[in-house]
Formats: sequence, structure tokens, C-alpha cells
Amino acid sequence: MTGSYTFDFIAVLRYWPELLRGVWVAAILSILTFLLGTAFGIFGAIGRISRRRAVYAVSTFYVELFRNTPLLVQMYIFYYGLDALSINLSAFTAALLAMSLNSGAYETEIIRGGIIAVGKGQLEAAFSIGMTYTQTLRKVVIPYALQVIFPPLGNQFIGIILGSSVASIITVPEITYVALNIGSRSYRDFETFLVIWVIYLALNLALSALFKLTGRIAFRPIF
Amino acid sequence: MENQPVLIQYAVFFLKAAGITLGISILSLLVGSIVGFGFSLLRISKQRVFSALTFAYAEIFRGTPILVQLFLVYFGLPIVFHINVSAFTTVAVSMILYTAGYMTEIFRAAIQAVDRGQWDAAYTIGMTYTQALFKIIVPQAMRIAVPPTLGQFISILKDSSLASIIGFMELTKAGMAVRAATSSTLLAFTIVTCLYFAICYSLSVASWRVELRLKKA
Repeated sequence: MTGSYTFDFIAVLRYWPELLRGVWVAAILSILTFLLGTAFGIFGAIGRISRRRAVYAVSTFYVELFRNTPLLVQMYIFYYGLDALSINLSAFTAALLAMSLNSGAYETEIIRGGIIAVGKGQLEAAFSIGMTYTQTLRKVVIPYALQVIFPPLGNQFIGIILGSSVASIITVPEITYVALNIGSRSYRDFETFLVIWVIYLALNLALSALFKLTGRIAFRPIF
Repeated sequence: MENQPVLIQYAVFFLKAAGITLGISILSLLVGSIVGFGFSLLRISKQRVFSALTFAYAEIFRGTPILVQLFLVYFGLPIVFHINVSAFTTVAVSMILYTAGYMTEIFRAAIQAVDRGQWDAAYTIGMTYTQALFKIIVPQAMRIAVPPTLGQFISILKDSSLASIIGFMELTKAGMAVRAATSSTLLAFTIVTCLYFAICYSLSVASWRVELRLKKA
């Protein structure tokens, strides 16, 4: 049964420059997604802890809508759906918008968790030793919240990279799209996908090690 | 109202597709959980080889895109085993492998979350490792694992949309098919979005309720 298939990775590795370009596109897309998503997340979190009913309702609706529907469908809506409304976005822009709104919904909850984690007691303590509002924000709230949200934000970034493979479906030339392309030209689809499997894994292991190290250096135990 | 039969046809088509999305997701969760549970026991075992292998398995399948895994199975199964597989088999195999990776970690974390004192107590009354594990630890771990498992189920439901790429007729594919047939893109996408949301959001709500109850207990 098995064994009669001869693997040929050389045929795939000839296309190495194309794969590298795919990695580059995925990296740009993921970094931009993370930046935009964090912006959406900050606004979302402010809305989610707001006492104003309407603001709370809108941000909650945003979070739940994007967390409870597939990323692929969200991309289709930004690419084909907007196109039906005569708004023509490039595949890259559509993917970026869908991915950053999607990531923003998750980041909203991460950032909200960080803000809540800074307990009332800490604020009272800061005020009682005579810190001003700005000082408290700069020296107590932000450093502590950052420490809390740093690890989940790192995981979120890795999640963005994994999700960026979905952008291949609406023709964004990132790693998975390039792999499909190489596979059909070299007739070595399986080997090509084994190669990018390793690429994705290596990217994630490297990033997760980097985040752990950064976290350890940046956030030495304060107390 | 001569359009009505057509509308009903589409409604039935969409509901059936949503049923298939649910079905393939339940299948993946069930089989993935069984495999993941077995792996989690190996993962916490003192046998270095077993714990290293299951650790590597979980890292590899959680650390790469499900879409890439789907294509690996899609291209790999026919080549390696010389069998022509249906879209259903391809989707089921890849989603089970993927889910098993996550469930391994969910069960491992749940088992390790059970208080260390429970092990000591079990040993004190003369239980063996296996007895302590299955009679004392696992029942408690199962309860701890419920909320993350529900969360994983929501992820599976959403990820199953990727099965549409290889021609598997689930909810997303149904939306694309109706879009092509009627050219009412927005309506098709709206229906698909609402159906996913209805399924996933009810599960989210269920998951919060369970979590609250567990906290109280």
C-alpha cells in the first residue's frame, strides 16, 4: 500500500524565493492586523466598561458578532459583500479589515480583563500616598495592566498568523496561497504543504519563545 | 407569492447545511475528545517518551493553521495511502486530528488543576495510581474541562467553514452556492452569518452559565 510514493522536496525548494515573499506578505498582514486590532481593542474595551448603556451595547454587539462567526465568512463579506455594494477593496485590504476587526473583538476582552485586574485597592493606595490622577495612570494602572495583557496579546498575535492563512482563499498572496500556486506548477502539492507546515510551526515557536523572553525582561516581578 | 416555494427550498437548503456544519463539528469534538483524553493521560505520565510525543503532537497541531492541515490531508491521503477519499473523510480526518491537539491540552490542564491533596488523599486510603486517577481525579477534571471544551466546540464550528474550500457542502459552501445561483450576495451572506451566530452565541451563553455554576460550587 504505502511506500511507492517518492518524495521530492527539491522540486519545492526551487521555489524558495516565492515562499519567502509569501512569508513577507503574511508578516506584513499580521503586523498591520495586530496594530489595527489593538486600536479596535482599546476602543472596544473602553466601551465594554462604560456605564453608558448605548456605548456598552454597541461594543458588546461588536465583540459577540465577530467572535461568534467564522473569519472566512467575515472575509467574504468584506471582499465579495462590499463588492456587491460597489465598494471595491483589494483582497489585501479586505483581508486586513476582516482580520483586524476579528482580532479587535478578542483584544477587547483581553484589554478589558487587564483594566479590571487593576483593583480598586491599588487606585486608592496610589491616591492615598498623594499621587495625582495622571501619575496613578502612568505609574500604577498602565504598567500593571500591560503586565496582565502581555501574555494573552502574544498568543493573539500567534493566532493572527495562523488565521492569516485564510486570506489565501480571497487570493492574498501569503504563504498558503503561494503554496497552492507552487503545488499546481510543480505537481508536488503534498511536499509543498509539508514545507509550509514547518514554516508556520517554526514562526510560531520562534515568536512564542521571543514573547516569553520579552515578558521576562520587561516585567520583572514588581512586588 | 409564486416565489414562495423557491424561498422555502432555499430555507430548507440553508437549514440542512447548518445541520451538516453542526454534525461534522460534533463528530470532530467527540472523536477528538476521545483521542485527546487518551493523549492527555500519556502527556501526564512519567514515561518520558509518551509525554514528549503527546506534547509534540499538541504543539504541532495547535501551532499550525487548520487550513494547512486540511490541505495536507487533502493532498496527502491519496498519495500516501493510494485511496480516493471523499470530501467528508478529508474534512473529518483533518478536523479530528486538529481537535485532538487542543483537547489533549484542555484535559491535561484540567487534570493538573485538580488539587494535589486529592491525589494524596486517594493514596492514603490505599488506592493505586490508576484507581486514584480514574475514580478521584478524572471525575473532577471533567467538570473543570467543560467550559474550555464548549469554547473549543465554538472554535470547531467556525473552523468547519474552511471545509467549504475543498467542496464540502456545509453552511459556508451553501451560502456561496446560493450566492452564485441567485446573485443576491448580501442576502446569502446575511443568512449564513445569522445562522453561525445563532449556533455559536447560544453555545457561548451556555458556556458562561456552566462557568458561573462551577464557580459557585
